[in-house]
Amino acid sequence: MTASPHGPLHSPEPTLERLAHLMASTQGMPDADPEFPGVVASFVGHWSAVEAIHEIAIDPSRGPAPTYDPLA
Amino acid sequence: MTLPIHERPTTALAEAIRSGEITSVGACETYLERIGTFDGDLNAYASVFAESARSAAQRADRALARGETFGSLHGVPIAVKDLVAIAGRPTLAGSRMRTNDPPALHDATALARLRAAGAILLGTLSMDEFAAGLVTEYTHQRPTCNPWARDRVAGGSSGGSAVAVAAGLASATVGSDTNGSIRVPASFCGIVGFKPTYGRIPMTGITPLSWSLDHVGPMTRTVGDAQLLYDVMRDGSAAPDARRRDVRDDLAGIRVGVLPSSALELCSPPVRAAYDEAIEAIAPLVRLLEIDETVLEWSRPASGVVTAAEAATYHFKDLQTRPHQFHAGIRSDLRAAALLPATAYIQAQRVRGEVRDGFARIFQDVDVVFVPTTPDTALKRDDPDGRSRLGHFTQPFSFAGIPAISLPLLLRTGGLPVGLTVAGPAFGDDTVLAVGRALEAIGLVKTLIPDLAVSRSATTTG
Repeated sequence: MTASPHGPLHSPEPTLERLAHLMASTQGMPDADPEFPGVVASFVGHWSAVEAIHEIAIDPSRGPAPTYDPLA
Repeated sequence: MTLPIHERPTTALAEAIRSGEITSVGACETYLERIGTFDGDLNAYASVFAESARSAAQRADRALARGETFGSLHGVPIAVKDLVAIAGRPTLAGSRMRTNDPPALHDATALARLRAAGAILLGTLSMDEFAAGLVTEYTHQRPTCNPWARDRVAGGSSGGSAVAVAAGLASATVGSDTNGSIRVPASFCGIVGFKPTYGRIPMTGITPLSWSLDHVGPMTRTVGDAQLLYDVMRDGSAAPDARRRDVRDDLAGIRVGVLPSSALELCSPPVRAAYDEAIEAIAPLVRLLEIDETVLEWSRPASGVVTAAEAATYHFKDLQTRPHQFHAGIRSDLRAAALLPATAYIQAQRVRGEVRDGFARIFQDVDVVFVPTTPDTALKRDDPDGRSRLGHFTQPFSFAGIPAISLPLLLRTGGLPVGLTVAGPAFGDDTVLAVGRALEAIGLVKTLIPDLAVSRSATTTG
């Protein structure tokens, strides 16, 4: 397989690491940053939580709580 | 037998000072001497304000001699987590990034109320940088040690607050809790740690980690002490809450929600045994009902996303301009959190609504819920094993904003402390505290003083 001309997100097999690279670069964090592998690893960890919460079935009409209020 | 000053509950110490049995200066000197003797190893304190504490204690004693009493904590030495604003000092929050910040203009509201009630401030207490941890090792100072075994973590992020109480280095302390930062160190150090209902104690002047999850609360030797500090921080008066009606100080007939066995499988054997023994002990007194553990399962990932997104938002500018000044233990996590998409935060907040409703359904059937505070006893320092599950039983209650107190179980077999959490519905703070007092009264819960010489030599030789 060859790399997509459209960048990491359009690669044949987009991965979470590629997503992290792309998002990090938009925030001025270069791949050459020696801590980049650690940031990517942390992002992958966060993403497992993101996937877990998207697995939870919630009534589609229900939106986010705009603020937290124990009385609501 | 009269207890030494550092072993007395705060309520008893306050009474002894009011009655003239001991002076505030005498109490203050006791704690300062113990800090000098033991804190070189324990690292509970970030800063000690010896001279200002002595001056305040002298003022308290002079006032008492004139027949004046400032309040329910008159002359009582306390200390606060390093993220509590203190007028005239920069609020460091465990970070060297804040060293050159301008001094705070005012005390945090919680501290102002404690001082107005007569409390004497001994100093600030160690924490994970910006409260982003559950161990009190992510600090630019030396890590805080567990007074029961110095090769183990104190828990965090309010680790200094827990150690200061457990080791008798302050009468009571203030901590903050986003995912368990009061309750985890309270459990590991064998003291009482109370996280009230979200918003019951104002967060004004407390450095945030995650605005919608942050709570401030007391860390103490007894439940009565926690009630005293909670009442003062809640409205400054220590007057009973108007909601505190029909709250009984016994367990008769209350409905206690407990976890099914499947939810306890991740617990270490000592924690599982202690939890089972506690439930067995109260079984003849209460009505036990198994609760649906789904809300616990949903809370953890969603709470993690909310915390990450809000913390990264708070620190966004510094993450872009000076990321390497953050402690290495939290830096990558915060930088990665800044990359989370909005959809993740929105979905986490949708889950939060479900969790809140799930707990509301649970509390239609039970008055309180009992869970282990942590799956393990205090973890080994510098050992990553077990850290990812430290908040398993604490995060759901902060995510839902409902009150939860960690109580030190009195273990028949000795060993490291094990915490039992009692949680209640929103604004059921006084019920939770009353059940805690009842558990103390039947001897199930008690704060013990560690033998600091033994725990020090165990580390030295071990």
